[in-house]
Amino acid sequence: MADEAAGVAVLAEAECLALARRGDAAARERLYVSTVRVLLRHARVLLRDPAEAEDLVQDAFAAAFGSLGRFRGDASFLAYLRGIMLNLARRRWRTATRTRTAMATHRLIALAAADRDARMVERIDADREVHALWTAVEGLRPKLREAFVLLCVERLSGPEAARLAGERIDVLRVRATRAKQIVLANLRGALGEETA
Amino acid sequence: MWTDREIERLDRAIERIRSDAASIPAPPWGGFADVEARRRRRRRAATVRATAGLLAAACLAVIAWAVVPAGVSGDGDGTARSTPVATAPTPGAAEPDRRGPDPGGDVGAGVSYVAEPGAVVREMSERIFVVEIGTVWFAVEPGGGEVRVRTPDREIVVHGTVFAVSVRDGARGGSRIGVLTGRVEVRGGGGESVFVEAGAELAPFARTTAPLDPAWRDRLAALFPERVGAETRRLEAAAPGEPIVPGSGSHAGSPVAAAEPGGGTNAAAAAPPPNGPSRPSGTAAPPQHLPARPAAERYRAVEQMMRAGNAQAAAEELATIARSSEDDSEAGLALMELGRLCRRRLHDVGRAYDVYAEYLRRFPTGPLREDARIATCEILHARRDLDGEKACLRAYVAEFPHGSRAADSRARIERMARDPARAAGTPGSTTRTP
Repeated sequence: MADEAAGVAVLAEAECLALARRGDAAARERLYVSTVRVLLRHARVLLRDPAEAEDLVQDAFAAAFGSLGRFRGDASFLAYLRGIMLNLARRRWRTATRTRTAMATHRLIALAAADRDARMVERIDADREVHALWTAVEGLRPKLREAFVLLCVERLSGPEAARLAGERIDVLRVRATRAKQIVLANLRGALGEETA
Repeated sequence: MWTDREIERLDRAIERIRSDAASIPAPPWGGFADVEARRRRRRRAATVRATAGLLAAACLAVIAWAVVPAGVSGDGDGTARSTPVATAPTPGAAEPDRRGPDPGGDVGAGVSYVAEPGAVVREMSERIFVVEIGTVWFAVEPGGGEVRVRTPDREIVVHGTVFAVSVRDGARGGSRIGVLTGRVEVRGGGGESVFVEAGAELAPFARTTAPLDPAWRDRLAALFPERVGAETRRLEAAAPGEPIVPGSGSHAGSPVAAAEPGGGTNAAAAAPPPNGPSRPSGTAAPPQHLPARPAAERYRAVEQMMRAGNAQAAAEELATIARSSEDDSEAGLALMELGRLCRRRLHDVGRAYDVYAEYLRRFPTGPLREDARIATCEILHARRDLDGEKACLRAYVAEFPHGSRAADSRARIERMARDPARAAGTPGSTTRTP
């Protein structure tokens, strides 16, 4: 039954793709609506800035719709989009590495009286942890970052991550482990050693 | 190599990133289509503009080549700009370049500055200045909005203060920022913002402040006596005699008061800076006599200090709130926050224990007693004080028989009674107290 449903879905996607290749706007919309949420979530773990992540998704769709003729349909449209987006993200990482300034994103949350609770330290610590993690991830070399994001943050399966990154599974796993060590060391440097 | 807690911390942060990523609403198809249409239009417009620009530049080059005689050059650095560059008249000259017609004058938006010989400062607008190299002394009137001063490696956000910036050798040499009155926010340097208070300075690449160099203090006070005097009068007019907590900007008793025109620069040199030269950097100043601030504002200050990484000052501020607040809930909250801060950030478990104990003593029916009890038991557990922990757990279970950790606590008490050696040997294990 499930296979049948999947088959129908695949067929629907294949039909949509065929129509979209011919320039059908409704078919493109269906493809967009069915994949954009997952893609955006993926983009948000690839890039720190939400606006940049949305931009990345926009670019990925624009590139995918612009090159539908080259899509052979071996994998799902979502996997195709993810591959495009990963390539675009790699390009952005490289650019960011070149032009990164020392300016850190500064986010000052004014604490209104109504928001005060007994967990300010935890809340601030959580923000610091996320900030430190992003800083550590952004400091990784692109290949390590890619492996860390796909396996540790996105938690994709080994084969799926390997297919997406175009690498062997074991290579990707080694890189993810190395990246994790670096991230942990940077977190310790930024936040100090966790004690009881 | 890594403790369980550090790996937990990493997992926590990853989970936060994942949940943040999942919480964003997906943009609708219409949005995508609109953006694509706009992008296409923008690309076309950009192509047209670039072509027109190239043509115009080529025309200008031809005209310039034909009209301007050889030997006439521009203003030195060849960059186009709409505002002048203020530099010393000649490098090495004795007199610095003062912007603003008189000592109190300004270049707009209430900003005055004096550039030392050899310094290069660009006025990008009335509110944005770029110090490329050298030492520049600034005075910014308060109440006129934000003024930004950029250096190759940092950005200084100012709301009204007297301060100085010194840049050596571009981004490589770093920039030093000293503040005489008020407070500035320094961004950059590879980390979060750092707030530099009155009487403090931030060395190149430093993340924590140090007392202001007396030579800088005297120089600033001598260059802007009117601004310093006005600040002193403003503070003196504000209700005197009421306490204020540290981190509130400029105040009487600081070099501001010392540099009153009557006192002259010698007085400025004689007066101790507010942070005190003997006090180590990053620690809070003792309470000063200044207008009291509402608790909400104090909490905001605490949060800002913590975000700026100044946990020690935040702890002192919380201690002040806990000590001086007439509102029991405010004081209780401040104590609990202080306890958490001491444990998690300052790693001062002894002080944290005292703070929680104080909460339990002061607030016999306080709403956060359960948290305080749990925290004290955890601290005793970490210290491997078995007797203390057992007593603490018993007190917790007696007071909160249906508390969130009551069942765990009872189990732990039983285990401790059954096998004390094993219970003592497993601090920080998966069994949590209580």
